[in-house]
Amino acid sequence: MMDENTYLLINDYLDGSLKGRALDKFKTELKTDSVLQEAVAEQEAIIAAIQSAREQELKSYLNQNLSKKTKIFSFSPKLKIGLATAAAIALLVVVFTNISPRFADKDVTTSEDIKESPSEDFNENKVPADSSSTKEGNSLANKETTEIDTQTLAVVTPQPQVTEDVTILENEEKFDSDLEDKIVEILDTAVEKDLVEANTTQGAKPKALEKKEEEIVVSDKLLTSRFYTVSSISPDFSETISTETVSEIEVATTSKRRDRKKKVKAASESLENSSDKVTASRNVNVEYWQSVVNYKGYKYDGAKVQLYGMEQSKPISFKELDDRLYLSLNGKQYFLEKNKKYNRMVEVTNSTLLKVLND
Amino acid sequence: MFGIGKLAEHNVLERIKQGDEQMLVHLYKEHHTMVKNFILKNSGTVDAVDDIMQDSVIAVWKNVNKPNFLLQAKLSTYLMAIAKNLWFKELKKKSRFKLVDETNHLAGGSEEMNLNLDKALIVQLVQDMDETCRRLLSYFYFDGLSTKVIAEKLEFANANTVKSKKYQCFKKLQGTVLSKYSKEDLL
Repeated sequence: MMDENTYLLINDYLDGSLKGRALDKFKTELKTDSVLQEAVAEQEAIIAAIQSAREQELKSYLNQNLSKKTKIFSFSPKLKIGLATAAAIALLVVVFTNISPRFADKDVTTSEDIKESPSEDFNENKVPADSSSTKEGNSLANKETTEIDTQTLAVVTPQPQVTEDVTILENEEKFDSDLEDKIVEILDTAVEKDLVEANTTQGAKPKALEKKEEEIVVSDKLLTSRFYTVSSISPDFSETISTETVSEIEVATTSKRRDRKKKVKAASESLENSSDKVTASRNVNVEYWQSVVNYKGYKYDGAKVQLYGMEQSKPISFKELDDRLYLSLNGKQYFLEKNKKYNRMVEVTNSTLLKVLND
Repeated sequence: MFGIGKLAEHNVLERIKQGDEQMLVHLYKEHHTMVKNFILKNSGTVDAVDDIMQDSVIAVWKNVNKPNFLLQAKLSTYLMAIAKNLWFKELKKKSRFKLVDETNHLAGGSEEMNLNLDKALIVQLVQDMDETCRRLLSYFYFDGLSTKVIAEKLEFANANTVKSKKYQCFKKLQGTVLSKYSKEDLL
């Protein structure tokens, strides 16, 4: 058995770390020393065995870790592309299968909403979970029927929405057809009216046309038309006013207020004492009309007076004062305003004016 | 490929120097296809691929831990060069084996076979050693790990402890071998 120094020296010689003089010295000794030669051979054989053992150990380690389960799959570029494509397709399929049922559910619910009859909702008072437009419509219909129920306090079997729609449509169609009929009638009557006028000129009026004419009395009806004489009133108080005002100005010069009062007083007195000049100037055309809506009033455009709702038998008279037309009816005076509107009768209440008009 | 994933080259080398045996598997898996394609194109078989691959990876493992090792190319290029050399050596051995086989048939001697058998017996004795000594001697004589790394791996106090323990283990193995074989058998 060799000592540790020899062992280390042989180690260095065998692994090549012994160099220089130490190597030359060792080689010299190795040539001559047979014991050293045996020691080197022993150590070399043992080291070789250790290396072989380690090599086998590492190979067995590799074999264990490279067993069949973990066998290497070398992915060629084509295989990698194929696998990536397959994975992408699989992902798309998974996503589609997850998303598509949601769309399908939505479709089903809407179709169910449409299929649900409103009567079921009314009877069961179900509150729909979804706030779809169809259900809102149903809830509105529900509200309407409940209002009707509370008003009539009667059990009303609600009509299906479809039948309501149908009736509405029928009504609309009926209304349209009626409207069309009326328009046709109006057009026909207009044409027939012309024909009637033409016939009246000839003195003959067919009975069938008269009947149709009665049917279309929808506007105001002219009863009669008369002419009345308008008495124009022009009171002459210029002299009295002038003389009295002059005297008043001479007498009262101190107080202006007093002057005003006196002037007004004098004017009224002069108006009362004055002798009115009444001159028949013109005639006015008066038409008696029967209103469809029983309107009572007048329309005066300056040349013609249209009286609505007035009895023709009652006597009337017209007076004109300062270009203003007054109607006398049943002992009352009414002012007729000149415009193109329909006006109500306005009674004159001014006593002075009434006195003038009544005189 | 699956467990470790892509590692930077310097990380692989560093972990080999630290005696991380997982790097053997990593190198094997990383370069298997490349070596396989080469061997199959050069009149090799799948079994030969595995053998060459293992030898190549272990050769890289050993060489990286040598003190004067300097990698001047990519690790894959280096490994591929080793694999090529090993395969050409194997091809030469095969052709030589044919000649030797023919001469053996004529001469009838097989002295080399007996020597290989003795070596295998010593290997068996190494494998039967206790765990610590076997690993210590393996790390030192095969892996070429430094005494510092061996101390860390085997949880020794320091490098000096490794040195003294190494001598003790070697003496023990030598005694076992000499008890089984005579000195003449080893020469």
